[in-house]
Amino acid sequence: MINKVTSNKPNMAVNVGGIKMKNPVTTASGTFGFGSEYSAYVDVSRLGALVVKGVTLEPRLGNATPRIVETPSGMLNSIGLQNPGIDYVLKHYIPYFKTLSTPVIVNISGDTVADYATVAEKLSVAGGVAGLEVNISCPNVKKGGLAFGSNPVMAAEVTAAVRAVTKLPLIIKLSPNVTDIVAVAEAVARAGADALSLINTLLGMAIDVRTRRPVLGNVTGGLSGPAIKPVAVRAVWQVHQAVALPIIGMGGISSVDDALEFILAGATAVAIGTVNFANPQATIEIINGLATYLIDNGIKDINDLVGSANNNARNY
Amino acid sequence: MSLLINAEIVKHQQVATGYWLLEFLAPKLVAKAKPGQFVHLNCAVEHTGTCLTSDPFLRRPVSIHRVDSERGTVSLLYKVVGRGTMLLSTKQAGDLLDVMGPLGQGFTLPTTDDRRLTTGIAVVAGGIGIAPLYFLVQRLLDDQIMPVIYIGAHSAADLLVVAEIKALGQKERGHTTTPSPGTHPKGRVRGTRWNGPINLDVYLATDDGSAGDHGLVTALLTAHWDNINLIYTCGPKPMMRAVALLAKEKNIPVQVSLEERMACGVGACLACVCQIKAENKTTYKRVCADGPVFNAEDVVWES
Repeated sequence: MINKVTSNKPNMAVNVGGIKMKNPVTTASGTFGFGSEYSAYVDVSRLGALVVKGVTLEPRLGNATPRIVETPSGMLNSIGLQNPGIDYVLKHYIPYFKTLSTPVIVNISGDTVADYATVAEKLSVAGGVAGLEVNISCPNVKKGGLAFGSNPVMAAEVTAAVRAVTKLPLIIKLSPNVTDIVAVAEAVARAGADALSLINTLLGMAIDVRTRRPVLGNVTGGLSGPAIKPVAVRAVWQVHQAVALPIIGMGGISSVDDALEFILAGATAVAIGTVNFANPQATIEIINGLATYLIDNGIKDINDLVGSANNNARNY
Repeated sequence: MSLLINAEIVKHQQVATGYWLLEFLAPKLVAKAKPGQFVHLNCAVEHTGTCLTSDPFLRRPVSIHRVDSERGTVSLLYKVVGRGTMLLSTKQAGDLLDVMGPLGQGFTLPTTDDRRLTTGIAVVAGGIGIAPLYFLVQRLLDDQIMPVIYIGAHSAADLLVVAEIKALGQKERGHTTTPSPGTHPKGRVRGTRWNGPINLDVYLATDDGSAGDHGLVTALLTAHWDNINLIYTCGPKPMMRAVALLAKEKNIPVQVSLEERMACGVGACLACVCQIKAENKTTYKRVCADGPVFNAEDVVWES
């Protein structure tokens, strides 16, 4: 009897480049802190994985305020990678990560290729880390970040440098602020990436008409939230057609239907980001909603859905 | 630990042009709330718990204005300043309100045996900044501390809840819970105690002179420097900055309640930061989680 119930339960587990997730739902870096900030609202152990705030070699003060502004169905942010630096994270957060049954993916950033490699190396030996998400797509810092992600050659260089120092699963986070995201995806795949995260925020700007000045302290910022979802779905679709790596899809997901859209486009997993600010329990609601969708539609394994919109696409 | 609840609105009315008083039922939140803390509200258009729009998308932080322990209600006093608060103002009694809270670090109440630090307490409000300070005055009076209150506003129409604040002093208190004279329930020794009504000193100032003194609230304060030992303040940043700088000259500690554009409300996103001096360095602290209340001397006041 017990076996029967178990066998009827659809499989929600996915494997993202060697990271085993019990369900496909994770958090988008920067929207969920280091996990503990949301412990009042979310049982972190229910998440498929936890992707934490971006970490750099040295502590970063971050950008001047205002750092955010709400825009139609979304927001612009320019936090500027404020973080306490890798050594602080190793000392204060790794012990917490080790207590979690959920795999923890640490997002890393750097000014130079060497910075990325140093941070990756330190995290590789620390324990408690299931994988690295390499941010080559932050639009809010002057050096590094998007400078690496907008050029396939440089993107591959960072990927190769990190690959050389770690055996941890390597996820490269790509930017939509490029002419051809597929070219960047192909380049990092060749350089040794195990998986891809897409998309990071879209570069944007808002101006206050009363003061006649840019709203953000950093002038420009990254657009996130429901407003960017169609752009993100398109990027996942395009990359999934061209590159064989598993994809963590993200960009404006705020409901289970949104998450399904990314999975159907080709994402093996999804990251929940800006909606956490509006609904701190969004991750859990989406996990529950995915399970219900599988049962209601008689789907035995969520992996069967990945990219399946392609099979159903009309030929033009 | 903070709650996430759908609370029933029991009362919602415009108390002055553009200012609203919203009361919702949340006994568990009342039990946890401290003066200076805030709640984070979903202002979006909802129908039976489902968001019908994604615009506006973010929550709106609103400070806790008062609590009623007997009725289990929390009141918010807010000003309509944009689309979020405009939508909030359309909600009606009986509607459910999606509330996160209580959040943040509130005011630190005097907990010393030193009688000097439980007298000469000044509460300085500017405009809608009175909202969290009303709750503070509630709790100070519960602790047998009688503050002097200073309220500044643009004009008479922006002076809010003055009569209600005065009425707080008129409340009978302590008949059942007051221990023998001079002994505080927590073992603190106090001087004069009172059980019956008291007359709170409330000083008013307006920019246009339509009520109270004509001028800034800081001018009222400076006339009373010698009697002030501690200041609590909330209001426009220039006002709080002026209070902080004046008090610094007199070596009077000030607790300020800051405001910034906020997203998560729980310390995760690092959007609502302010510059704080710590160990001779300037760092960014989170208004939502490290504040909103800070010691004024730690705040980097931009000129």
